[in-house]
Amino acid sequence: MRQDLRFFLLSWPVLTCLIVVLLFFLLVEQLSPEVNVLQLREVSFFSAAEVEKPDALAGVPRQRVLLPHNWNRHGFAGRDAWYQAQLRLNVPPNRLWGLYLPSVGSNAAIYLNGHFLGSGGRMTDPPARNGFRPLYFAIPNGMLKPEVNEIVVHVTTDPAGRGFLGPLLMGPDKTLNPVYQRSYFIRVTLVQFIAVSLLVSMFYVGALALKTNDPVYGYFAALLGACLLFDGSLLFPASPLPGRWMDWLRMLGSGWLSVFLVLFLHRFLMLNRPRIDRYVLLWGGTGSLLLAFLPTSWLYQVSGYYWDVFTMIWGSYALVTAFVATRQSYSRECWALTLSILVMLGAGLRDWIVYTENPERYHGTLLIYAVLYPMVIFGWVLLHRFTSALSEAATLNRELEERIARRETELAVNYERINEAQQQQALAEERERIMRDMHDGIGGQLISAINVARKDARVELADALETALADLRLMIDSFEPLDEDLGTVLGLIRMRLEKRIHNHNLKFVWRVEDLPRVPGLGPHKVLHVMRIIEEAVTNVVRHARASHIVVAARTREREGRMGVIVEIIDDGKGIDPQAERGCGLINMHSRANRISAVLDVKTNSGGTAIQLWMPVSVP
Amino acid sequence: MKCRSEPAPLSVLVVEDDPAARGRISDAIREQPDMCLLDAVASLAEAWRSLENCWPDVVLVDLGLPDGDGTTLIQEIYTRPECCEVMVITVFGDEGHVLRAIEAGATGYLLKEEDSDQIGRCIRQLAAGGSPMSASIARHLLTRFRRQGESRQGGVPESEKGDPQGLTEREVEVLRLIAKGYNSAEISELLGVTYHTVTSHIRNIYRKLAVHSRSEAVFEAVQRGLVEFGA
Repeated sequence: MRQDLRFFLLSWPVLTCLIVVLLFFLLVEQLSPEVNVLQLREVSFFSAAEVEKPDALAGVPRQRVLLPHNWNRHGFAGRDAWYQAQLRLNVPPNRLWGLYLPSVGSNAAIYLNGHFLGSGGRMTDPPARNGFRPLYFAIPNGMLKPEVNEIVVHVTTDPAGRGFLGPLLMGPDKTLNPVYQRSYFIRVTLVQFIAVSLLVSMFYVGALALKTNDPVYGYFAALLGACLLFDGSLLFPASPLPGRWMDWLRMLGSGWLSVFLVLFLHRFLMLNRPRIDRYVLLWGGTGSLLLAFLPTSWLYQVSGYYWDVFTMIWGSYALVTAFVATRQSYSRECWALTLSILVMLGAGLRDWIVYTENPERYHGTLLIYAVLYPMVIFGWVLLHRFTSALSEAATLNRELEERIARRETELAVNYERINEAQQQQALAEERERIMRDMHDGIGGQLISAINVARKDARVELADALETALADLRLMIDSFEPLDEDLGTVLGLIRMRLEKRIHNHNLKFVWRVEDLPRVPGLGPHKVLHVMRIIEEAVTNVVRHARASHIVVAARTREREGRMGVIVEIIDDGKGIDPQAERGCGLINMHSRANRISAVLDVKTNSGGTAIQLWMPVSVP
Repeated sequence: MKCRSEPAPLSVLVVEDDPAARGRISDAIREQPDMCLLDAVASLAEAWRSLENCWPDVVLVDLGLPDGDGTTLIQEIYTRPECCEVMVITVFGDEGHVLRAIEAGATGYLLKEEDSDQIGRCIRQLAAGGSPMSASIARHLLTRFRRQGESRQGGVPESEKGDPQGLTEREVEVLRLIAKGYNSAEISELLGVTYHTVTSHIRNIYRKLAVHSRSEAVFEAVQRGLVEFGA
């Protein structure tokens, strides 16, 4: 529980809320004037409508009233009224003075000592709306007289009965003007600024709504639109629309604000409540029409006790919904929403009391300022959601791309493997076919031919045929799938050559060690290796007069590369340097070159060593 | 009925369709004092007729026969209770032919062009329990048995006899040395065992190959619903 409390109290929504409330207080305080200005409180009130000029006030019945004066409160339902005040100055001021009207409904014209001082705009058809706009009139030098000064204020309003006169202040321009400027800034400039912000935000959110097709943005844009309507109704003092219609627009603004708030909240919190949506829209639609067609005398009553009350009911519903959501999800967002709705509701309630119950309507509306805070919060929350959705989409996109790339490489590798396997398969099948043909065909035929030749004692022919058969066997051997194993190659050669050397009383001394795979040792290379070794052994058999042939194979490094070396070493008489170099050695060298191997021939009188080196590492 | 005269000679049946080769081999056998040629036939049908009459100690069979593949004969002989050595006659001793025959149940191979001494020696060796193996065959078997061992993890069933299908360490060593070109005498020296041990190892390896091929065939047949156990 304590943690929850801390979460709530220390969260930024609460802090900003407090700051906002504080600012409001300051605002209100700003409006109160300073000490050394004169506030005319007791004035005479003339309710006659037919008075045209201040001079005509002489015989008109009057009342003593206190300013600020609300006509509705006092039961005056007319359109025009006059006020007269008297100011006694002992010494006329030698500085510039001014007359300050913080608020008047809806327009006033000031006459000082019979001279027309100024007015807040149009006085008729319809009069300018200065309910939320301060008026300041500079009093030219010399107009103020010592002793009694007569100030007459003509107040006119539209519609009838809605007029009022706020405080009337006079004082040195130096003191009073800043007060007016401050009030003007807060009541006019700030409201204009809010209107512009609302307009810009509305367009931006509207664009988002169109782009994302998400109704939450659409309803938020509509919410901003309603606030803009409300704001607009305060902004145009010289509007051509009659006061009743401007007020109607204001009511629409505040009412639809609550409608769209409910709709927005439902979408934002993802609550599916279509019945409530329908009710609130129905209420908004019918209420707007009702207010439009009501006669003026009923308008403000209905607005005050039906329209505004329901607006606040919807607002409370929104508040409760948001609060429940906060309790459920404990998210700062929901908490911020709840507080901002609370602020709006509070301001709305205060406005309602001021406008409907409280006679001092000159205090003006607070809602227009209260609206800014929630709009900012809502906007930030929405934007936050949008950007996080965007970044999530970007992340997902990236992950998808990565997965696709990985899958592609996997596929490529698989295709490679399949391709290779297919190739190997095709090669193996080819080999088998050839071998079978040779086995069944040439092989058998050669053997028969050899036998016939031997029977006929054609030794040379028989030998030649046997050599051919031996060579054929070598080729067959090279076709065998040997797994790039040099040892097996040597074993095969041994099998072929064993008989030959046995016939010449030679023996193999076999010293083959474990050898690594020789890359690229396919049939082509194998055949060359076999032929080189066969040539070497044949040389030993024919020329060397040795008794042993050592066949050794092991790994050997050469010039920094790993490789395998095959050595054919005999203990014969060595190769005579004087003797003609037979084709044999030249052949061996050329074969070695063809398979990128290195052939070394070392010989002395004690024997000969033929060394064949092949690399095993791919360069 | 089995014809066998103790202690010698070995009776041999030759199945070879090429008349010249058949003649040579028959002559070679006749020359050997410790062998007797039971019959020399040129087709499977004739071979069966001869077998019905009398069962030899050694059968030499060529694979390419006019009325069928010699491996069928080898397979049939393998199933018979009469213990008989089968050698396949091959021109080149190449892996394809030899292994096919071994899988069918042969225990050795004979090169067609061998002279009479060689033929005699080979047959004698076979009868004594030795089997020849070339380096390439050894290489191939190493790969094949290794692959089998790997696939066995996937649940290939064991043989009917209950023996494990893989090779023992000794057998693998022997295969490796053969694959490097060493002959049986050198292997026996290197491993410190008798010559006979080495040849027995080779024989065992051949048997395992045959058994495995057989059991693989059975397994596949069972999979396809062609054979029912107990039927």
